[in-house]
Amino acid sequence: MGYGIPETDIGPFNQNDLVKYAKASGDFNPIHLDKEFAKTIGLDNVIVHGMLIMAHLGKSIANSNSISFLKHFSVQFCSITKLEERLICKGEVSKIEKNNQKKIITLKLKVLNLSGEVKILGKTIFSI
Amino acid sequence: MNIGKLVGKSYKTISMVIKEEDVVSFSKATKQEDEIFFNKIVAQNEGFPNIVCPPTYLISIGMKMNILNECLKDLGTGLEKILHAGQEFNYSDLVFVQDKISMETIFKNAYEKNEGSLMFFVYESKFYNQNEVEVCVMNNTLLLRS
Repeated sequence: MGYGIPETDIGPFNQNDLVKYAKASGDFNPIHLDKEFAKTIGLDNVIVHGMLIMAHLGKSIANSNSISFLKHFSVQFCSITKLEERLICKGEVSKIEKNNQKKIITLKLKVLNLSGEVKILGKTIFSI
Repeated sequence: MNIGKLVGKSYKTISMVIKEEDVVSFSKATKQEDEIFFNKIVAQNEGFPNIVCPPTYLISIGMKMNILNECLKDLGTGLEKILHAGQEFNYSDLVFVQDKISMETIFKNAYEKNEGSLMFFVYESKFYNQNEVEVCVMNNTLLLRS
């Protein structure tokens, strides 16, 4: 316990990052793309796709060595992320169990901004 | 709108072959660093049959095939009225470029918080590959803005 993934930084994002993600993912929600629309619902500007942040978080847990063991990846989106925000991804082992011959490792994940505001709470499970 | 009647509803099964350009574009847009997610030769050198789809790639299938829009139509709302509250992937197998993936979606659950001021909708999608092997079960939780 106490072990985890190295902390990684993500952001800030720009409008072009969101357009690229919208095209690649098919998520064209105007809250991410249209500043005028965002203003109509009380925001100053567009907000970052939660799934774009989740995809960045995924880089911390999935690579050529680990992806075959990845069994679960989930998040709750806790607060919106503005374009200019810089975020930190963290993860630490919360549980290690044995199931038959497999070791089941659970990590708690967190993404927060530099002020400590939580953007994402998540969990991932590997079966090794 | 009787949401309760919608719980359990199945949406049309969609099927598509995973294209290299789509996965590469997704990987570049999400700034993937491990080349197995965008370079076929590297992926094969690492023992994979083709480029590996990043962990969150499967959400793009339903988005691009308009499944989400179908779900929202049933709720009498549109994409501009929702926020993404949560996302869950449960993996059984990897997905690669050139796999033929089928996606089956159901309206799994609906619930309220804050005395009904916040309404949440959960959609479950199961993904199968060309060998009819279930590769992933995905849950997508949406929050309807009032």
